[in-house]
Amino acid sequence: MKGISHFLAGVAAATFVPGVVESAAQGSYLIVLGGFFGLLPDTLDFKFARYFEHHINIDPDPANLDPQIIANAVAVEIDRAAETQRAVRVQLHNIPLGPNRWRQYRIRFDAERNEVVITIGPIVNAALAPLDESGQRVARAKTKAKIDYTYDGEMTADIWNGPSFAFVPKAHGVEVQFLPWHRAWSHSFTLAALLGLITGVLFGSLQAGLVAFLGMSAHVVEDQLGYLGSNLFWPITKGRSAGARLLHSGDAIPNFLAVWTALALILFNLDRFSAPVQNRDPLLTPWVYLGTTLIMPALILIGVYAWERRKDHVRREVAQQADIVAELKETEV
Amino acid sequence: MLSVIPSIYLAAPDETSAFIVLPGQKWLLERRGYEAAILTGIGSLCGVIVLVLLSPFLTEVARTLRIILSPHFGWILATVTLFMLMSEWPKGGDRGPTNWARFRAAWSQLAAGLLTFFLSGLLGLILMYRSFAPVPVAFVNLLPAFIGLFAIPMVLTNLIMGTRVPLQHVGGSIDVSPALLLRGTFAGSLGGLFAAFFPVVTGGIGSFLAGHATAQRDERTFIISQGTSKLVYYAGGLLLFFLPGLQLARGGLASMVSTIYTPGTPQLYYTAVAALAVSGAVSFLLLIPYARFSVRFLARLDYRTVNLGTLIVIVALLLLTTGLSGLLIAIPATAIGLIPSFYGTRRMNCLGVLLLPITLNMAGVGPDIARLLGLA
Repeated sequence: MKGISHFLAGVAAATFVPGVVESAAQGSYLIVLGGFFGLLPDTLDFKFARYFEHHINIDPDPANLDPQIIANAVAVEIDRAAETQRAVRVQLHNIPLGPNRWRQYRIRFDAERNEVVITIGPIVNAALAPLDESGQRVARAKTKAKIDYTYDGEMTADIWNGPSFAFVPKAHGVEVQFLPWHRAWSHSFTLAALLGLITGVLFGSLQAGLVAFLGMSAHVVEDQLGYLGSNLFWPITKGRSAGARLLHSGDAIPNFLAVWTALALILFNLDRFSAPVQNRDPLLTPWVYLGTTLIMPALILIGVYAWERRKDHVRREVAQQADIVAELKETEV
Repeated sequence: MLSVIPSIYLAAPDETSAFIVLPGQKWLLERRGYEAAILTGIGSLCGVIVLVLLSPFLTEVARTLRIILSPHFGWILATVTLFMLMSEWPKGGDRGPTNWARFRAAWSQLAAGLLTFFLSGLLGLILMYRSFAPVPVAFVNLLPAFIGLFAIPMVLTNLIMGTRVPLQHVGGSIDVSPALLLRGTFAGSLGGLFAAFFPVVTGGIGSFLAGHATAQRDERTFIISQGTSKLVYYAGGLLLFFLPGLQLARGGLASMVSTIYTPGTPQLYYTAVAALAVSGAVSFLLLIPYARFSVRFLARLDYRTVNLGTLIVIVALLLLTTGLSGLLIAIPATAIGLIPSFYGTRRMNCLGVLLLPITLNMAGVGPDIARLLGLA
């Protein structure tokens, strides 16, 4: 889901920890930790983990731009994964040509023919406007191994980093996974518990530890609602689990609902827990408030979302890859 | 609403920075400035409708919110600041001989953003505790800093890079669905109301939050949300001032008016709502021919000359209002404001000039830090 959804979910989770809102009403900033830990899993992935994974670099040469070379290089790594029975990670790089010029190219895995398809696209500027349409070519490279690829779209490399993949040997072929470094160890309840413990010790406060744990766990739970889950109990579990398939993480309505729900809960908790500190009664009548600001909008939005998705019969694996592509887009702003 | 014309047509980014600027400015480079202006106007019109619809409930809602949130302003501001800093993602670092080299490359940009924020914050602290402005113009203490941080760097970058605005396309219709309109309006209203209600939170921050709450893959939603947020922030801020029994003075206009006038009756409040509705509708009707005329007019202008003229006017205004001391503040502020242009980071980090000192003061540590820095 979007960063703001995770961040606010973390703050909302913090408001449920006994004593946190009361102390916030008296000047404590402990509650801010909820937001910090709410966004921490993606921060760890996109600002740290991605730079420390070991991968094979495929860096197209702008002076000798042959799509066949790129396609062959990718195919070789898929076959290597099959032969060695070990996962191979590959980073494709973009092709900068000048201060404001990039050669766009696209990659697609043709699972039916076991081919890697590379399409050299136009030269684009930073606004992705095509500057030169010439030189566009397509090349295919066949793999010996069977490709298990579930995403039906192409991945494009232009002004941003190219995509990274893990080629994971499985019984039925080599599975192509997007962004293998994302939603792994950083998105686990075990790390949340560990960081909660460390935070609690550092702050000398059980509340701080709970805020950290709940903030981070809220992120993991939110991501779990989509098609692709996380490695929930790393290092006990080894891979990313399947999600609950209730939503697509990049869709607008679930993100709105998450933001709105978090804000409504924060306000509700601030009212009822700050009231004694302010020597007043709570101003919000629970059933009226929760009914009108939480339940009713949730029912409407869920209804609209379900209506929008009624013809959405995408294969689970395809939706999982689409979810992770959507998360990558989130960090490109 | 009409201010969208200069903010889109005259804020063309340098092409190399197109991927760090807002969609409205990016669209200008794609010859879609007119479309961006009209979409923003539609967003603003929706903002007017939201405010009018909310007006019967605004008094009660604002009163309740004020009671609940008043002891929490400090951490809420810190939370907004933290989100602003954490939500900037690296835009490089994919190449390098070692993992550390890649990591350093990625973090040089992130570090530049943090540096911008903290240098701006330091400038804000200095201005707050050691005002350079002469006593007669002390009320515009922060003006030179804002001009230096935001206005001059953009004009200078355009001048240096020789930015050219392509001829804009004027279409006969706008492609936007009711769903996109609703999403943009909803997010923009939330961001705008948040900014209007909270002290120190500016319209820029409200728009930033609104932008995050929209589906950024569709730039139309984002542009609509920016129009809504901006209008709700400015007009909503003024409307809060007319709320019977509350008179929350938020924003510059309300603050200025509050020194000479105190509205008190519901009639006045609803008169203000009616004025908002009428002026909003008239502004939107004016926007369409104005946007068309501006496209034709701007096509004849040399963008470099416009930027040079803008720079001269800005510096002249600065000298007139704050004198030489204002210029002396604007120079280091400009140096800080140029960091985002050079490193491809968010210009919004310059808002540290307000956010850092006020967050520190609300946390009760501002005076201690000022003492530590020898400012107090």
